[in-house]
Amino acid sequence: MTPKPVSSADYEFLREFLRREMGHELGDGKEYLVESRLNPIAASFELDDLPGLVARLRVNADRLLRDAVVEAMSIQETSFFRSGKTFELVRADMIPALMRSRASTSRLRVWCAACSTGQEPFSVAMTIDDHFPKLWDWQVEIVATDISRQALDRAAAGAYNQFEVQRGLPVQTLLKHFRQVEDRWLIADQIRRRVKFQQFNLLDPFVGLGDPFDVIFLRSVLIYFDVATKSAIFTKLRRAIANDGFLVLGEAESIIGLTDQFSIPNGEAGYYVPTRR
Amino acid sequence: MPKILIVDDSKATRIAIRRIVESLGFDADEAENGRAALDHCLAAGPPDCVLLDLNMPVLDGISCLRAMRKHERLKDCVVVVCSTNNTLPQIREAVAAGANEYVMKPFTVEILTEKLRQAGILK
Repeated sequence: MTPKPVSSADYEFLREFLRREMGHELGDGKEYLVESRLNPIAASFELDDLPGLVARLRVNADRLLRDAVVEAMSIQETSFFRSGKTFELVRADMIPALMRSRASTSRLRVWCAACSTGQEPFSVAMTIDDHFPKLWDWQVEIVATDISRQALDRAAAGAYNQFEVQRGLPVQTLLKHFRQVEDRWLIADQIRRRVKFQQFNLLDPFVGLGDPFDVIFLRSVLIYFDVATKSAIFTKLRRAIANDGFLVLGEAESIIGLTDQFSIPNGEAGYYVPTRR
Repeated sequence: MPKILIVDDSKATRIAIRRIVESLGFDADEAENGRAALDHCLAAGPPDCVLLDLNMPVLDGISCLRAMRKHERLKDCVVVVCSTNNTLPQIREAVAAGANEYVMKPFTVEILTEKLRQAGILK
């Protein structure tokens, strides 16, 4: 059974819908994208086909269906435990090393420098809770910042829809750390209260952030800046990080040609450390 | 080619899931309820993964899952539940019955792909 192609009238409706719901501009000629992403949504709502889905969207304000369409058409920029390899390094390398080096002070500071809607700092807190619960006896600070007030408000609420809690979260982790209130999933208070959210612009001077951080996450942000701005941010990051701290960038990002203040330890990719001088 | 059994009483859902899993490199078979799924698994041998709906006639998904976990030949088969039963107690019940992962319907291609990865049957 070949799915019915999207009609031009339905395509125009979906363009307007996505513009209104998510500020997403669906260009011309993306019918294939609509068909490949929304046909499974139609089937899972037990609607006959894509025209049936659009017909229901036209007359019905059902939030679950709206969320499903927005989710399917989104380019997701954040998720829980984004890039599983990164969190494997956090668990296997970074935190064990810091537990050894910080044993005398019993203090650990983590900064998620572009935390968006909170999945990254909550993933850090869940990692500690699952694998290093003794760290909660330490003074652990997880500072999460973002330029967007709207994103921070969502992050601080710790409430996610069913699509967001299925990206990156194994079901056992969902059951352990979330509770459900109507159609929203709320992160457990003991995780939520571990994270301190504040608004911060990476282009501003790095002041008001406190003592040096042991781990800084700055993932998939630098790609939006020009070379000079990236270099300036690396200089500020170097001042904000402990001499034996860890810097985590996005998988597609690199320090090469931008700074000599950080280096890749042991030739292994995955995170960066301040260059010893 | 890894084998996957799609168990759902909705033909449209089976077709939609089949398209996704075949694009991921799976060899897909279908069953329309839990009884048919058990019969298929015992006749053809356990697949690498069962994608299991819960609300089905004849034999529901939870009963099918419990029967699989008690059966010597089927007890180690990876089962990913895929259901509209999206409350926390329902998900907890499925995991307690032996589900390896859980996909809440409606799902996207990305979510189904990731759940298969989390269940360990997709690199």
